Amino acid sequence: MKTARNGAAAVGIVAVAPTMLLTQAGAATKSKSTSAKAEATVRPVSSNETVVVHIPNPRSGEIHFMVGTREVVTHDRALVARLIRDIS
Amino acid sequence: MSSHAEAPEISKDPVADSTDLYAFISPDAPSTVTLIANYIPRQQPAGGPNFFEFGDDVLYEIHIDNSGDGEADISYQFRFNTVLTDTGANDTFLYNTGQITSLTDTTWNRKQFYSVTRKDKSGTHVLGKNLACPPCNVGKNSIPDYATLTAQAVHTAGTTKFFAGQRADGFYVDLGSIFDLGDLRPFQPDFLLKGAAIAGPNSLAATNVHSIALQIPITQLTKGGTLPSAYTDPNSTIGVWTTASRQKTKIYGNHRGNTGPWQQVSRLGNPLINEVIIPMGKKDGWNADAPKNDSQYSKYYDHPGLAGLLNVLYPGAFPNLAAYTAVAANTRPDLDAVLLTGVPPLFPGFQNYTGKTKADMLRLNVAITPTATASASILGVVGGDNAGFPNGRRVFDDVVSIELKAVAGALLGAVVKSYSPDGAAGLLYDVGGPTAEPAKVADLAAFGLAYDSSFPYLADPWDGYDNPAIQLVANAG
Repeated sequence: MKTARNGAAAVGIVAVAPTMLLTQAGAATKSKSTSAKAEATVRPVSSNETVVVHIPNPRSGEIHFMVGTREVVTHDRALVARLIRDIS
Repeated sequence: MSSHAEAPEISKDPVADSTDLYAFISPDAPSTVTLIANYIPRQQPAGGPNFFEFGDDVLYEIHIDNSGDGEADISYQFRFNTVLTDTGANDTFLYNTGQITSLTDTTWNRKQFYSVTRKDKSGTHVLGKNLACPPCNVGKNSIPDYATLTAQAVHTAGTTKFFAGQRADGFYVDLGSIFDLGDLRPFQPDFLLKGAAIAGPNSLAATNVHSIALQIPITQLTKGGTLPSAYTDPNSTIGVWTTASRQKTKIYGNHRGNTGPWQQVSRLGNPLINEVIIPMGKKDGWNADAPKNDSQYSKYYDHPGLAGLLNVLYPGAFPNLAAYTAVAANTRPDLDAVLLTGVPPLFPGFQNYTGKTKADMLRLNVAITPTATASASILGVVGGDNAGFPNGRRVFDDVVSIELKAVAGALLGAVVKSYSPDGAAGLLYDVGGPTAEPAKVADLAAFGLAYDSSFPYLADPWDGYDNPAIQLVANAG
């Protein structure tokens, strides 16, 4: 999480490899529901594209994922909380 | 300047900074429209080892609205790609290792290529790929015949011509007088601070820009693909603007690159709008906004700061303007018409009204035939030449003087019948003088300005050998 730590400290942006991103997403899912099923939904990814994650306001739980020329906005308070804990 | 470094943020990002936009009926091919968007302002010709180039990480666009709603019906997109000839074999530090006599010379080390894509209601169409730009004009030793390179860099795809590369800046302005508290000709002796009557130099003389130019059949731009023959035809006017966009995030160091959707950072329609009309605190936001949202800026057109300054700086010179602007309820429908909606049929043989939507676009009535350059008035419609600004904009139009006259109320009487323009309004001008105002293209030669008679119309760039970056000057003091 070193990259994330540096990026987030500066501007609230973290750049992560897709594998790491999905690991985090999986962890967030797990924190919502600790079932083994959730763990099984974490699949390896084939893309090598960089993903940049932007959390404009951690309290809102809003996360912006930027891939290529796309931006996907989602809300996941558990994932944001986990990320913030990890970089604090 | 017209739009050179006109806003705080974009002034720090010249590669994405649009400086001027031109739209006119091609005088030598009158069934076509020429569109030129200039970027990268104030280039000193002398340089090295790195010279100016388009941004590989910038999306440059020219947009056309042919339905009057301030939204793009057609967009031309340009993406650039820089290629090193020397990939390590020679490890040269130089831009060129010998003379450049063609665009494929291996002596030219750092080349740029581009793609052009048209987006319209029928979809996305790639019009050209790997189109070569010409080099920067390093100097006469490196490039003995620049005109040949210009000709090689004019590409044709079907009925459309393209050019992208360095040109001489055709825009002219006396920045020193404009931004040193508006010491304007021919009223310098009447200036509040008692200015001297001196000639106005061109502050941008012998500087270059990077141009993106297109020459397109009129029928590929108008609504319904028509070729309007009457200037009153509602489909005869197109709106044009240019934008530059960067991706939302940029990573430096390891894993460097750009990610995310395109975010607009620069825009330009009419000259001098973000420069002079929009307040400093709003300029960056304006650059990121779309023309269709420009009604939010309407109050700055209705009460332009420059008009208020004229009344302060030239006491008694503009009494009718002073009286008009003293009434808070009085607005400026003349500036609205010229700059936001297009001009309704107020003048013989001219209109470029596109409807009620207030949007900053250069509006070109394609049914108005071009005027021969030798007889054209650089004051455009104000000078009785309906083929010039604000009917689109030609490369030689004196847009600074035209807009000075307009802001001073020279056209207000045409819209507000009870208003009588001050005599001084029509006399204001910028470059030239000190007492005689340039009127024809030939008059501009004295200020270092020349233009080509064919596409891409802006002259070959100033060369670095004959135009060194440092001149001998007296000590400041």
